[in-house]
Amino acid sequence: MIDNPFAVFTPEGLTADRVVAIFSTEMPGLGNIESAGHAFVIGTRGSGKSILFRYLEPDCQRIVTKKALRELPFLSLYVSFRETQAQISELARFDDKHGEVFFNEHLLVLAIGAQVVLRLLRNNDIEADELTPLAREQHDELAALLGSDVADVSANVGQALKVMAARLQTAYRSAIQYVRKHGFKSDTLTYTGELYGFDDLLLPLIDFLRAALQMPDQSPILLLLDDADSLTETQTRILNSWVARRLSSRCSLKIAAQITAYKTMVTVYNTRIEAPHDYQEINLSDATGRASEKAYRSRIAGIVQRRLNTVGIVKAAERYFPEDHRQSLEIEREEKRLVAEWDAGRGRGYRARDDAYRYARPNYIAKLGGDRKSRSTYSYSGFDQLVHISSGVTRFFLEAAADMYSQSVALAPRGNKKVDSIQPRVQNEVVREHANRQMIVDLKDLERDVERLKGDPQQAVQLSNLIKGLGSMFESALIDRTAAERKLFSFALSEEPTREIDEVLRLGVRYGYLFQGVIGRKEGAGRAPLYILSRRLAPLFNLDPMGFSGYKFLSNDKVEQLMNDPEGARLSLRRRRGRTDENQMSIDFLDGGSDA
Amino acid sequence: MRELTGEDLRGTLHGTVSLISCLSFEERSLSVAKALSPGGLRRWLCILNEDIETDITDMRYKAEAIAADAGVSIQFLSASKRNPLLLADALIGLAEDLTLGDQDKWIGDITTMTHEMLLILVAAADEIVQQWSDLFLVYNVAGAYSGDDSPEEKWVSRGIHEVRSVIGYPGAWSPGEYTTMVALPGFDPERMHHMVEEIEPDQLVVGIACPIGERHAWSAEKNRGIAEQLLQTRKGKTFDYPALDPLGAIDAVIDVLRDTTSNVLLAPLNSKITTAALGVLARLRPEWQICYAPAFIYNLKYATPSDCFLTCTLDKIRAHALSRIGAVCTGN
Repeated sequence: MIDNPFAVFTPEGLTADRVVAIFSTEMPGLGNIESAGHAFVIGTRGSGKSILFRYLEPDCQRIVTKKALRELPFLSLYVSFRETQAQISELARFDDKHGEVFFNEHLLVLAIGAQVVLRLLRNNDIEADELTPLAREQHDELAALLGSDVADVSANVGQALKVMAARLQTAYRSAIQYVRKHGFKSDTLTYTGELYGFDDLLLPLIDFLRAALQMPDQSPILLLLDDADSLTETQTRILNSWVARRLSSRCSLKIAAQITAYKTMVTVYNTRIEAPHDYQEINLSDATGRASEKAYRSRIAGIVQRRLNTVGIVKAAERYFPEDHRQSLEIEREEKRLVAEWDAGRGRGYRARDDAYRYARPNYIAKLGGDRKSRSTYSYSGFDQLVHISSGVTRFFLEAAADMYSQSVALAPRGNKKVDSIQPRVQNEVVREHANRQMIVDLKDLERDVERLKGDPQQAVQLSNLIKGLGSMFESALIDRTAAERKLFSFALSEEPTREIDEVLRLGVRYGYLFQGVIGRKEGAGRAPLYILSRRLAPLFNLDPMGFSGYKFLSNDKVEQLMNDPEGARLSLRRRRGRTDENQMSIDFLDGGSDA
Repeated sequence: MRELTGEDLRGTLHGTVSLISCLSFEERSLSVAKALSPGGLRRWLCILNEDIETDITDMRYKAEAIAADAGVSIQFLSASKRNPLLLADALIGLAEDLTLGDQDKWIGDITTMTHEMLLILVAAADEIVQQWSDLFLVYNVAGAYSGDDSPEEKWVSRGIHEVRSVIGYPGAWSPGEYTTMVALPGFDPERMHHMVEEIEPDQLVVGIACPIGERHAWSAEKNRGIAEQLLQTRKGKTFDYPALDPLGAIDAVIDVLRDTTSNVLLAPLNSKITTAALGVLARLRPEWQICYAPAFIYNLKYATPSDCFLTCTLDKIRAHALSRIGAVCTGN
């Protein structure tokens, strides 16, 4: 059995050696995260938030810097909120009740404390280190705070941390016992235990860890809080209240969350936290601008090379994922023709290479044939196309690459299981299959089975209609040689969305069919949300996934038509296009899926 | 687990009984009531989801007609897939209901309850509704699953709204320790996949429901495939347990978790019978948490009724679980 170099595993469980081997340091904002100050790391699921945090942990940093723990430039303490049992249903009994905030904070600080202590112990060889007098003093104060009336005789860091973790866990379980009693109680019961908070428990605990590990005062301590979108709204407000504090000298909060799932930016005091005043924002999924696209490509190239190195392959990403040779020659020829046209004064852009970039690939796709089926012979292969298709989400690239690798292993002759490159045919098949899986398995079934659905069927159908309508609209532009902007993948609303539209768009973003960015408003004042169709769906509509694309402004009426009246939207598109390509507009996924 | 026809069921129960069931879009939600009526029902409590999107007016009319034949009126208990406390509150009200006689024989038709409703019912029976401590559980076996779909296309639900603990099963975890998730998927691998993605357990243990005899024999291969798929990107293992056998499911889960020192999270989405068994077990192991994720959509043609009813009592399941836990503690 050969290890698949592109296999995706959750980073928390990876060894430090493996993380350092595969992590690409070409990550936006990495330097900012490593320094003092609060920061939000936002990105879609799979954009690399967790592996970034894992990379910052001391066991990884010791390998990277070849330094001892106390010599590291910073000390990171990792917590995943998935492991803090945030969604305990009984906690809802405390909603809007006196003490709701205090009790939730109590649970949070105990869970965070126990996690950081145990993870430090598990991943670092610190057990035998001697406890300094300062650390001993702080340890004893914390022990007293946690209700220990017996003098602790822990002689070394390992023993002291274990005892501390056990106390935190005991206090946490005791609090959960109290919560548990509320499942079948309408009123909240009197709480007689201790209540701990950020100031009286978590900060002293962090001070103790600094002393126990003998970290210099000038080395920042970073509390890495992963999966913050798992928190309830109350817990999120508590966390925001910590962010509103200036704490950099003692610890900095680095919070990772999915873009749309973080519940609120409001604190428990009903104030808002804002960037850059309260925190820095680092967006790992922002592939909406040329600069961020370039950085993303570079990051993926680094990841591919590092992962290939782990199986003994030294090759540039572009050579490992080659584009279909015949297709790339044809596109090159078209580029030359467009440059010649521009030189002859028949160009459309400011520069010859603008025309080549904008129109060569769309012209090639349009030339493949008049109907959708002919155009679906286009090959989605080559590293650059794969990068664009992954839509700024590292995991999408890796999952596709892992499937391509597995298929290539299966196709290789017996005894020769080393995959030196991925054939364009295999790349194309996997990309198309993934697109089908995303659209057909999820959305097409929802639409076809509308009468069989229970749940939120209307929104699912509206989303399905919208995605297909957008795809057809963008395809129509791509093959229209008279259109000013042929590479469309995005749209912005020219007015405030209705609630119905907003909910469907949020659903689309949540399920990864759409990505969200921002652009300047049409009227020039302020910013408006931009919705970008996932490039993973490009094969379903024969779209060109490459490069930075233009966008359309759509009115609420137009979006509502796409969502609720797909037939009307189709007729409207047909009228505009003059019935030149009816098959293209008939959105038939069974014919449009694959050329395999 | 006893297997009875509708006629046998009525004969077994000797006289009138009180029923708690759940009204849903499925015909199966009325199978037990039909089998008991007329003349066999003394009282009928019916759980009704407040935020159900599907129009079940016809089913409600049918239920009311059955109730009229039996000479009773239905008392609806409110539930909500968005707010599980609603059902807990309804059960609190019920526990305080002085007309809930101690002498009534109570039947729980668990066929079309959601897994969460069923687990809350089991917890309430253990904690506040004393009259249900020996609740007689009835499950109407499906005549066919997912219509004429081929085995690989059969499905029950897709997508999830959120993952949350079930009321009555918050667990008592030790934060910072590893987490083991025991997943019992049904024909909704995508839903379970989403749950695993949300929870990201350190270890995933997937139970494979093994059909007994010829009934739904086709499902064995499908269930094994679902388990393999779930474990593609996770550290973990599988274990077999007998489908539709609560005692066998308890044995299998206790065995697979015998040496576990980590936090335990149970995610039952297979048969309601297995879910009831895990509910009873988790009440005896309060450090284990049970989690649930409301489905985004359900297959409205998921299952058809049959004249086959499986029965078991909570007492019997509890006694078995206690004896197995005791045996593990004493090393047998």
